[in-house]
Amino acid sequence: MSLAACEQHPLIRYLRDPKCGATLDATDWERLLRAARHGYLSSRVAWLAKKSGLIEHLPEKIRFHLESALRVAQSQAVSVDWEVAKIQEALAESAMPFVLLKGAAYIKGQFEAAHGRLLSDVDIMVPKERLLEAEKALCSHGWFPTKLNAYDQRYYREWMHELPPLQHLGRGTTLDVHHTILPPTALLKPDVNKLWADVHAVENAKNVFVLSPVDMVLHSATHLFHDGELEHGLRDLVDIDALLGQFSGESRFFETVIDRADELDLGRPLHYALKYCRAFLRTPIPDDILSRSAELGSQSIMIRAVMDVVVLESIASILADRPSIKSQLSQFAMYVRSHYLRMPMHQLLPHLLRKQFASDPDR
Amino acid sequence: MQSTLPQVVRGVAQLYADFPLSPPGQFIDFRIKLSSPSLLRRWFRPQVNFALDDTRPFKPLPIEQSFAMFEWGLNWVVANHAHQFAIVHAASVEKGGRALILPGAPGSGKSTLCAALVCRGWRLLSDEMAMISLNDGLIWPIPRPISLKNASIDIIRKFSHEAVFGDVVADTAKGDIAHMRPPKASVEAAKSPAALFAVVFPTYRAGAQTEYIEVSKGRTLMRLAENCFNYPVLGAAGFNCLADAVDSSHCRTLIYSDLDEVITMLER
Repeated sequence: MSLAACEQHPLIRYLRDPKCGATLDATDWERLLRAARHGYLSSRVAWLAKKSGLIEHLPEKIRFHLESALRVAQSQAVSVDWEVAKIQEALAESAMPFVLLKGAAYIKGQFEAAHGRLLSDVDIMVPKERLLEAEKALCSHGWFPTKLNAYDQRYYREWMHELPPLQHLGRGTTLDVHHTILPPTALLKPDVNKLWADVHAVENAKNVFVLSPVDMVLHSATHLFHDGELEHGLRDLVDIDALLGQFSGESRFFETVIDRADELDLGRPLHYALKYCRAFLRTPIPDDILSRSAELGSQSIMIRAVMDVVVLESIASILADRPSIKSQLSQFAMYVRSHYLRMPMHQLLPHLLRKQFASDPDR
Repeated sequence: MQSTLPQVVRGVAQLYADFPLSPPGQFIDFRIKLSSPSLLRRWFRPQVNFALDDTRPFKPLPIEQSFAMFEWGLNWVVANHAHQFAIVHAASVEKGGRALILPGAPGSGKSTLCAALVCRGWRLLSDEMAMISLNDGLIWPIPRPISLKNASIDIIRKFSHEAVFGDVVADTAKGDIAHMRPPKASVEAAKSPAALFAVVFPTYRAGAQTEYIEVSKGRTLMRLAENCFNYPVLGAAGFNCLADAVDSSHCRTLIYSDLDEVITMLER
């Protein structure tokens, strides 16, 4: 699927301009909702329809899906509230501050990106030197590491920037505890202390923080292009689009983001985020900002071209009516790439080989 | 839905014969596909996969269970995407405008009783999931095939010679399973909801006298909530819906062994 073909897809047209929903026919809506389910965007789609008043005018069969998706988002917002209160309780004994990241941050910080944002776990960041203390406190309140073998435990603890995912014994919810936003083994090395220096307190929640708006954009971008396998690629672009939409009204916001990206060594992910938000979602981003970000995140022409293909394919795979070999290959390329960015080759190769061939009793 | 597996094709032809096909160009809620996971798995210990769009929520099952997997998968699809309803793990039937909800743990005999009632002319609303609308408190039908297990299959075969069954599949996670075709009249009335009259918790007990005992509204509410698939999603709206449902209906537990006796009693 080409970029032009992606642009014709009803989901992309709708995300750019929800009002176009009024002109979509039954087949378009079917493709839109299917792609939205696939891309973890069904509740966002529903919220956009509600916000624009479109939902009242849609046929009952379509409204049915949207109303159902709105309820899912509502219940997630309630459960995030509850989870955060419980984490707060667990960490209060040692008076430990923590920063909410991604979905939980948007919801607790009441950002525009929170509306219809689906999440599968809560992500928090604690001060690095207190990571084990945090784990102990959380354990004593019912969060335990999910079942992992010794190798996976070591993978997380030694190489990654987080504890193995914790799961609450009673509620079954998952919690990811980070101590920075990129692994210590990664090529890019943002200084986490600078993030901590700028955090914003969450209202009425002692010791609970979110990143500053600028850092939130940078973290979203970093997460999208360096952490994951782009399987939530479109959803993450929608997050960034919503954050930019909310903050870009502030004077010199884009300039501040560029300066901050330079300071934190995050120019490259910022550039990708801006470039692909504009390409797919038509996020209004000034030309000079885009070119300044390109200079910061300087890349060879070849890497840029590869990146274009990989991002396009992974988003196309969400939109496609059936998965193509090409998109599966590029998903795999993205998987390898995201690991390569996380750890040097001499660690990566043995890790991937092991993951590929070591027998996993759960598989 | 899409499948070339003979078990699925046969099951749909037998059990969904009275359902209308969607005309082309109409909005389709869910695209479901049942297929072999790989070429290898077509020949070597063959398996079946259930897919909604491109997501596969379950591990593959042995190929013999294809049709059962379709039914279970469809239950999952409904329970995860129809949050306008409190979806309770229960059978539901209707006669004379009065709907009964029959919740019950697996093996409690809820499907057996449901099948028997349906064979005696009650309208099938649903077998696995009672759909209580959050908007109007009415029970909305999804009159899909009734799933019967183990001894129940023969009990209903003997009870009604008109009942039509699909293949009996042995050794599933739930034992032997067969599905019974929903009556044509129930399928045709699939768009008419019914008002709730009673919540009845059935328990089959061999040789027992029929007993129909009142249960407190509070206890009934708690048991409905425990059996409500999407209770966590609905939150306060779900609580209010179930509380209203319980408030306006009779709440009973029912111990039975003789189907004719229990039906006569329920019809009174």
